[in-house]
Amino acid sequence: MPNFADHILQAGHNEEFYRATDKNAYSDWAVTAVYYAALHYIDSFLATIGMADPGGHDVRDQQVRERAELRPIGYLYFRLKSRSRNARYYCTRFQLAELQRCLEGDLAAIRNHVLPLARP
Amino acid sequence: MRSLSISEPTSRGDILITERSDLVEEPGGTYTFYLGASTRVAPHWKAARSTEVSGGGPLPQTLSDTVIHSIERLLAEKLLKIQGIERILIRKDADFFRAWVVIPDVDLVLEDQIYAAVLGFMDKFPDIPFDLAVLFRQGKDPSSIQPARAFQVYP
Repeated sequence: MPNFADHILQAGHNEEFYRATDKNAYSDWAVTAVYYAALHYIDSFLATIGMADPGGHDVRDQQVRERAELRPIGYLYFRLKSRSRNARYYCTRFQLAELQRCLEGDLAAIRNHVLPLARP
Repeated sequence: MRSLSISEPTSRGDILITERSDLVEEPGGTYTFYLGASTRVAPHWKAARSTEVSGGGPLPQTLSDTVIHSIERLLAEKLLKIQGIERILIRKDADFFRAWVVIPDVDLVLEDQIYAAVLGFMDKFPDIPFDLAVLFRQGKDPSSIQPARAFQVYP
């Protein structure tokens, strides 16, 4: 079962994938990489409170909504999730500026918020 | 939280056997929310359309006609105060509610209003698993966004 450190590594791995991707050609996968980096930052926190495996998006989403520690970044997380869903299932494409905003705005805010909470 | 035992029509030929319900005070009225399973147990014409809460006394609310109706009504009321939403669709999978809100394109201000409204809505019903997707139409035909078995709440 992935632990705190595993999730942090995976989040960084996904960010690296974002940076390596041709974002003009594959904005769908670029935004999905950003979303899954955010997901692993969330999971890193959950791993420190005994939820090593949420088991599904619905459980993770509920934790984001209901845990006081995660609520402040909830709308950022759900914003990224919706973008990834739009890209994967509705063939939506995103401008480079929006991708960068997702990375440097939403994801950075999630990382900066969660890491101090999650550090075991 | 209040427990009720009722049978109520959910669609033609089906009735709902409720497991529990919530009474929620909202501006403009009191809403009843049911969790349960829609089960084909009686012809539509045999199903009771209302029930009584044990303990007697007048009911403080109007019981909804369908399971989804009360959820959809309250959610739609909240969302329709937000300018810019093009479509709202809802689907109920067992006890899991899914909502799709369609907007023209990426719009952080509009999206934040939607998330604020829906997260507030979810806070009122923590027992109801809920999934929200904000979809960007991006010039596509609005009717092309039609998740399977979802029904349109707005427009």
